[in-house]
Amino acid sequence: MCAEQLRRPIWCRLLGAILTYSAEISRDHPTCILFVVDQSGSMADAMATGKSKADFVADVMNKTIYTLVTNCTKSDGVRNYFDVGIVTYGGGGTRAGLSGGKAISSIVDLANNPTRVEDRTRHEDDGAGGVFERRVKFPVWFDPTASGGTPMCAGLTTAAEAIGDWCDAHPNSYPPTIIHVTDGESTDGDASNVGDILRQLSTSDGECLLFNIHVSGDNSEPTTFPSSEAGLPNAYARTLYRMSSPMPDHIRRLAGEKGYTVGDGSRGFMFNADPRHIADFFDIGTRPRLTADR
Amino acid sequence: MISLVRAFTAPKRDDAPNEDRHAVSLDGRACAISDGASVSFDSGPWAELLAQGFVNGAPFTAAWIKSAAITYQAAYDRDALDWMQQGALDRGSFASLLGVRPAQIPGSIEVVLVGDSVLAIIDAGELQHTMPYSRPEQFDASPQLISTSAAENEPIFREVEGIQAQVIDLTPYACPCLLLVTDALGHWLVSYPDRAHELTTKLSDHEFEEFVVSERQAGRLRRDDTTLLIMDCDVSPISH
Repeated sequence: MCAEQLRRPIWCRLLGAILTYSAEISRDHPTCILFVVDQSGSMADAMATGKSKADFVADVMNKTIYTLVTNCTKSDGVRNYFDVGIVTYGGGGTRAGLSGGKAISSIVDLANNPTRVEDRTRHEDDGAGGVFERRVKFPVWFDPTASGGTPMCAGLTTAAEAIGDWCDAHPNSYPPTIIHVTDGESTDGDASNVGDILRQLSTSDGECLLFNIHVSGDNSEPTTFPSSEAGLPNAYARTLYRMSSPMPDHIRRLAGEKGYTVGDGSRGFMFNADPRHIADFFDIGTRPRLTADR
Repeated sequence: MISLVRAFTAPKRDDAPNEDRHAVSLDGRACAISDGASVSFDSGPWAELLAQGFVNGAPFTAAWIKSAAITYQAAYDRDALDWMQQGALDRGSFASLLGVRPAQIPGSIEVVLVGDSVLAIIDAGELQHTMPYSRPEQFDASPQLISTSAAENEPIFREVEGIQAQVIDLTPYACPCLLLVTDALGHWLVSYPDRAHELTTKLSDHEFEEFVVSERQAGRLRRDDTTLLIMDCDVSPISH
């Protein structure tokens, strides 16, 4: 899968110091967002809100995909600014794609193939200090599942295979962003190596961005976008930190706008994330300069 | 006295509609450009409403924008749209606004500006001043735009009832000329200020198209809808 890709980073790093993460995202040059989701048994544990971690992550995933689709939707149809992929791992092994499809699909395919569309009511700000109710159709692509162990290495390897193929097919696109959600330690070995491989996969616009989020059911103080290992509570947290990519400037800016303290070395990593942080993490990680295509 | 001399616009690609709009008052003394954002349901008609609103003297209060948004939304049957279009319509359409008209003070102009469209003052062929941005990296931030969704406009009206016009005194300049440009060309102007005179010579439509194509190919001009309005200025006192 990756022989050519693994050779690229040498010159890409030289070029990257000058210009990275600046490729225009367009229909001709879409980018890729891949979600890698832990579905091990512990994801059934409840969060502070009462919902299970699996339920909450599924909800955020569906809202994130909905936002990606509607961001690409014009009055004349959906524009393919993104390819979107999903890899899950847990007691059922590793699965790629939705509904048995390809690991990575175009946003147009995803838009046209939700599992179901639910009718919901949403309260919206009316911009004048009030709220109003609006009936909305809400598509669902991803349902919560939680069982078995945490085969993180297998899950990330499946992700690396899909991403390697995608980079080969899109050599000049904004590089893929991988959002990895987990709540526990890997049960099939040290995932550092496959994390390194994922981050080294690249396009001419830069290396892949691997962002890791550890979700927590307790009330421990979260660590958000750290710039060093100091202060991380254990070896597992430090492993996830090392596996995480430094945040490019424009993503750091988005995090700053949401009130997070970020610095030059901040990495795309959260530990002990609560529901609000999880939602923010997905939002920050899935907005790669779409405004550049204004 | 200011008046429109020329207007040029080029789409970002041949197979997509140009979502920039511009408008000129009947007397040619008030001009506006509005850059409809791509991440919008249908930003061209929204940009049209904003640009026309400016040259027709709309007050640009929260209430006026809300009524313009109602006009905009009336063109679509929300219930008949599929979920993705409904979601995109609900999220809103977004556009910048840059409007220029004579001020009451002789030799001055009033400028209404929201977003990343750029007003440039050229004097004797040299770039003298740009607003709101003067450095290329400022274009990387997400600008506040005017939206069809009232909630998205909240930051604009947090402290003021209406969008405030700024008064700019042009009398320090000998023979000023104004450029109203959308963000791609604004970014180009502040990146290559020594070349500003290329936009004030007697450009033909064909020459403008060639300029856009060659600068895009050279990687100097971002691929985006690109609009340029050139206004001449006579800084002697105006009569009302």
